[in-house]
Amino acid sequence: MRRHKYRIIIPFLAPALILYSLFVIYPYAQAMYVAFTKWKGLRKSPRFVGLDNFEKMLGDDQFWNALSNNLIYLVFLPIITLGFALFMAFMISQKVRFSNFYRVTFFFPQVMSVVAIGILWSFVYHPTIGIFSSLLKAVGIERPPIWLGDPDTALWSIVAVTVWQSAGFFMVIFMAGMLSIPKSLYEAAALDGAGRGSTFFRITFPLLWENTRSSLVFITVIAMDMFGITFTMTQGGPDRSTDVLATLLYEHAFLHSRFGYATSIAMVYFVIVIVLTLLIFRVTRRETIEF
Amino acid sequence: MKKSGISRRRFIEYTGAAGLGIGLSSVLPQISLAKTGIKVASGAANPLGLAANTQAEGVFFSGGFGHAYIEYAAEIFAEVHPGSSMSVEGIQRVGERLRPRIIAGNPPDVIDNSGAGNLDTGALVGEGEIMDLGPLMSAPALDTPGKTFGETLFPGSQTSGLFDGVQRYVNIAFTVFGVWHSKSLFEEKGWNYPTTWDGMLSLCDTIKSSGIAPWTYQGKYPQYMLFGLLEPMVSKIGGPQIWKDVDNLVPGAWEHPAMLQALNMMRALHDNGYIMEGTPGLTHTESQAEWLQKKAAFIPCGTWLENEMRSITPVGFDMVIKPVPSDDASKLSWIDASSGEPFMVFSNGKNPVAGMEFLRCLLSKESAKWFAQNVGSIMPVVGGAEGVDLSSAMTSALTAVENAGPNILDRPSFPGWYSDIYSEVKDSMGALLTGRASAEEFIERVQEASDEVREDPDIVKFKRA
Amino acid sequence: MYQVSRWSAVSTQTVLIGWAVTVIFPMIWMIYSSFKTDQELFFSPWAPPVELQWDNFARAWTKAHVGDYLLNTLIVVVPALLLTLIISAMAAYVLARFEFVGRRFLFYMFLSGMLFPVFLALVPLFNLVNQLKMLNTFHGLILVYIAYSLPFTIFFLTGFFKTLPTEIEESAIMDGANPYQVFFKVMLPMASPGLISMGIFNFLGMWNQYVLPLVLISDESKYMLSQGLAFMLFKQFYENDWSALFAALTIIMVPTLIVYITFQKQIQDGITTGALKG
Repeated sequence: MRRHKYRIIIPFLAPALILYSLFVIYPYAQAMYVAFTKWKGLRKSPRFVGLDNFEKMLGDDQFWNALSNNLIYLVFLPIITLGFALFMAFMISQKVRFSNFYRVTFFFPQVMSVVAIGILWSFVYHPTIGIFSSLLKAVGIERPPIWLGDPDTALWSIVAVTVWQSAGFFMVIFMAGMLSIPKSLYEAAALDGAGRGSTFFRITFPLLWENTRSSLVFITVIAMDMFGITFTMTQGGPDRSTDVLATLLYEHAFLHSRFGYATSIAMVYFVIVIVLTLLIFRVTRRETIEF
Repeated sequence: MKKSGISRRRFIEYTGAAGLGIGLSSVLPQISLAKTGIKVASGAANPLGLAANTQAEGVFFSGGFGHAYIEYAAEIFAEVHPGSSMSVEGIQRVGERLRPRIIAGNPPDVIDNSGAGNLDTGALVGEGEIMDLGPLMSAPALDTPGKTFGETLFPGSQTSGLFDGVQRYVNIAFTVFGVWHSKSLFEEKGWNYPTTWDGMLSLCDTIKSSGIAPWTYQGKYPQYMLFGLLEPMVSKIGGPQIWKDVDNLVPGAWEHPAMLQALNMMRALHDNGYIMEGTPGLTHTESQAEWLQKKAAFIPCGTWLENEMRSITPVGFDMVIKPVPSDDASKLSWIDASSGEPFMVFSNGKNPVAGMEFLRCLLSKESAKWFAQNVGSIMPVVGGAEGVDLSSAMTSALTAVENAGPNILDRPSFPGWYSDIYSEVKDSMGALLTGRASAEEFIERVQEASDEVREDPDIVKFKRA
Repeated sequence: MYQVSRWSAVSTQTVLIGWAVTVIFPMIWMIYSSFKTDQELFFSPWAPPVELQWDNFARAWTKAHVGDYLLNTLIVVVPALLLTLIISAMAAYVLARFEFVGRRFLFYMFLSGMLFPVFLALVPLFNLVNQLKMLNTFHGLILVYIAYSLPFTIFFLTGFFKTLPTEIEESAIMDGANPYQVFFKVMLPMASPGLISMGIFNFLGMWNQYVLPLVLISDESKYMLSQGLAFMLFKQFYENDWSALFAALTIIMVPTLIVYITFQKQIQDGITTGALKG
């Protein structure tokens, strides 16, 4: 077996490696080079400029603004989305009525395309015909917030859409973990007279570390990206209040023809995602409980 | 031209007696083609030397003017050049669609680079991608005998396409910019359009007390307030030189007192609560739809507004355009009117000649008439609206131009030249109109963006006389 | 189990019903709006349609070519999906079950593909596909779809293979099966729950993919579904045919909903097992 193993390793890995290297690694490697150049994204070749782009970034208010919006997402999306998902998962796995209906319904937004969600929610937030504004006006609030049109509310409106779309997905991830927790543990807790709250915190949550870890990785990727939903709903506005690194670099590349600078922003983005992912793996590794 | 391809080619008929050949065309002033009815001027059939049987490709932004007028121009093209054709694709977000093709050295022959998400024209010109349209400008016009193509276009209508004196694109729509209202609504309420900005504010007060919001604008796209209000106001208060200084990146150009005054006048709309609730959350068509429901009295826009909103305009709305009032009633008639919708030809496309030839067809008198008749806007072509029934909107726009006489204001070029400044203006305008930025802060932000552009050696600079 | 008070049961249901309404209502509103005229949509957004505007659907189907987009998308997604699964399973099996130099490196290399912003690679990718003469071709798009689906699928299936018991595999080897037989006859059937869930997961991803076809397919007759939808959206900023856009959204959502409800168990099971075992 040992001597022959490369007879299977090589042909089994080859198709994946070839396709992946050609269509994924190679374009990204090119992009890595572009980060150290000035390039208008037209026919003239990129011009190598060393660390110029990164120096420029340090003094670029728009970059820091976009990064801080990403940070807001990074802090609040995990708390709100995962917290809510965990809460719902716990409730549904307690054999409530219609639990199947809830499980199926809550997950559905995850399968919709971002374009469709963006269109739908732009109308939900519409200042005159939108659902929220109409409801608030109906209960007597004359000046409801202009959700996507006001820098104070736009970012949080997008947070809400993201929670709407992904809470079901994370709920299902948590539910899977909950179902694999041995019933005997709950029974023991019940014998001890534990209530719902203490059961959750003493038994359920500690046994969900693996699910939490995966969820954290996924939500980190979502919080760093946010491109699709931002682009269809606000294009980073109003007044850059919903700008994130992804939309900023898109703007630099495709609006201002600065592909070099845009790519250097993407490098920073990439590094942040990698570091956070490794950090999550490290922090949660030892906490996994075997049973 | 003999018998070949009768079944496929369009049948050509000459005016006057049948049987007169092309050789006699020097005797006849014009040749009329059957399908579109265009009368080709003598010696103007193919001055640029389009090769026979050229199959060219055009990709065009399809926006407020729709796409049908492009198809009509392609019909003219095919009729003037039997055997050749121009494919016409209508798209949105021109930049996303075409940039990869430009990089690959495979651009289409001719494009309309307009709309949101279009290509950065300054960068394209700076990189030498765009054809010098000089030969087109000096070629004979297609259906105006004795004139060159350039001479048939409204004077001054093509200056924004001049980059360091070279014509890089042609504008195909003549647009009047101003403030719109519903004539029927104003008559019903007995309101009169004001002659000064103070008059505007007091009218706004009256309007507001009647339960209608005095103003709305294209919320998510605050730049409409730039060309609708700020540009003409600044020119009226401080003279047109200010915008030239802005375009030429003169240090402190944005800090001119007239700029501050105009911005403060605009800011008064917000401070007095004259802007419709919810405006900042609306797209351009949505705010225009609100205005059509008479929820707001005024909206800034260009003359494409009528066509853009045609499908949901209530009967009897009667939209009309007026110049924006300023400090001086005697300057009320001054109005921003210029040509827009830039069409350009790629220097390394497969058939640049076909691209130019298409523009010659598109800006022919016949095509311009069709545009005026069917789109309800006008091309900057002399005589292009002859004998066409114009709507109340277009009539009001032409009246406004007539009243302005020599005081037609040029639009600044910085939005096309320096996308960074334009972005900052859009953002700051939104901030100003929602009370998050004062006029001083607006100026500070935009001047800073302008200074950064001036000092960035990687941005190609242009000059305007 | 422990006692659940009546009050607690009621409040639980309230929260859950509230969220269910929040999820469902916008979609119902969309379907309902797709039967209205543009005038009604803007001027009386809450009133029921005066008359059912079936014409909206006709316009969406014919003028906006939603039918063609559906067909194109199927032509690309089905082969791309099958190939993604088989190629990923082979790679994942090797990564999960064999110890060899560079194994970790390869695993993290594939993993890194999940984290990079896709649209950054678009211009180099476009050049590459152009050089391969595969622009505006379905097979070009299929290959790119496969390549960009590999990271997550391999990540997922590697985790999945690790959870499978080794005894059956070992006994097959003892019985003299060669590694290929072990993989195709033993491992692959055992991995079928993982393959099914990845199949559905990737199906949804490919079905909703927007950015890749945006750059690689410029011929309107070959548009994918999301691309066609966004194309319609951007068009509506100028043409105001919102009702047809809503109709198109409805046309697209109904099959998605049917597929989802049919396979929801597999979708959710697959995603959870895979997402957790990376």
